[in-house]
Amino acid sequence: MKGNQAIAAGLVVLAVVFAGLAVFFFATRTGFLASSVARHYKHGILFTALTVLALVAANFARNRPAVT
Amino acid sequence: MLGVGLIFFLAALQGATELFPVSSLGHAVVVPALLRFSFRQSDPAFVPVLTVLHLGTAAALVVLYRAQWARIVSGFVRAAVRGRVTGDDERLAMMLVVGTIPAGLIGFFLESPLKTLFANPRLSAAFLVVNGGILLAAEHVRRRDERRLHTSRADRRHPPGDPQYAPVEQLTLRSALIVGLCQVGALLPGISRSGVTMAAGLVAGLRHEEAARFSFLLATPIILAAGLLEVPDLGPERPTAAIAAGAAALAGVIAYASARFLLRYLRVGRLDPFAFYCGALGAAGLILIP
Repeated sequence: MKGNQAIAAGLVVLAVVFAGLAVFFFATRTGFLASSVARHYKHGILFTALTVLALVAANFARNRPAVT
Repeated sequence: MLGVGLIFFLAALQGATELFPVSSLGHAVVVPALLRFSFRQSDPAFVPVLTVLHLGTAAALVVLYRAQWARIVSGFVRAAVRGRVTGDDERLAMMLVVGTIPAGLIGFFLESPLKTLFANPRLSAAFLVVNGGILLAAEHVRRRDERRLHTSRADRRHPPGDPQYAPVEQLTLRSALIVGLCQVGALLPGISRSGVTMAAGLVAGLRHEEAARFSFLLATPIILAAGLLEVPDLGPERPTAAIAAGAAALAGVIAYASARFLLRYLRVGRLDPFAFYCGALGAAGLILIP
């Protein structure tokens, strides 16, 4: 197998979760993971950045030789 | 509300201390209390003003390493698309990403409890003493390592010192992560971001000047992001645009000069003087601040 596909798939799933959280924080007023109930744009930006990083990490895992 | 004079005083203080391993935040809390300035660190305008000043410092760092940042950003994009790290710039970009994540996440989610610490000058003074201890401990470890390397060498032509240590590009990703984890400590007022990252860089085997370079590069994204994200939340206590821009520019110019000075100093100098300074200021704060 060329890369570590299981880790890559896990990181893509994580990226999807982060993307969902980013949309959630941009779109709704919430107190989840925050100190007050409001629309938390900063949380949205953070989770957008984490989405990108998870996808980059998945791309690295895809190209990395699997340890046997 | 903070007066214009006080804002410019804080700008000069922040610019002069942000990149030295002496904790700008600790200074911003302890020095006005020592000088008996008539404002409270719990003033709602205090943190917004500091945030704006940090943008000046971040701009100074971007200007200082502008050519390197251009290579780092393009290196990150190349490595991210290809899924493989090949050159030094790509490697450095990945080290900066890995090193930034811990402090970024913890600072983000613990922002509110950490801000309450700013209102306690005596606690900041105590952390300044701890910061001095960290710098001294790092130099102690480095000196011991230099002596060990010197005595174990077959040829003794090379005196103990920095040249035998590595540049930033030879740091491992694991070491970069450890340096990044140390940066988390700098969320406490009195613990210096550049101090703990330089100390960790020295222990990881970097030359002094290279430890400072990695510290400055690592500080840039987090200072810039924290500053930019805080600006929309400045609220009614924010300084006027002209005052904010002037103060940030002053902080930036002083930070640029202090970074150039520190990089030159660390070609031959060590962190001990900064350690003793932090210890003395922290002790003065503990004794004199009621």
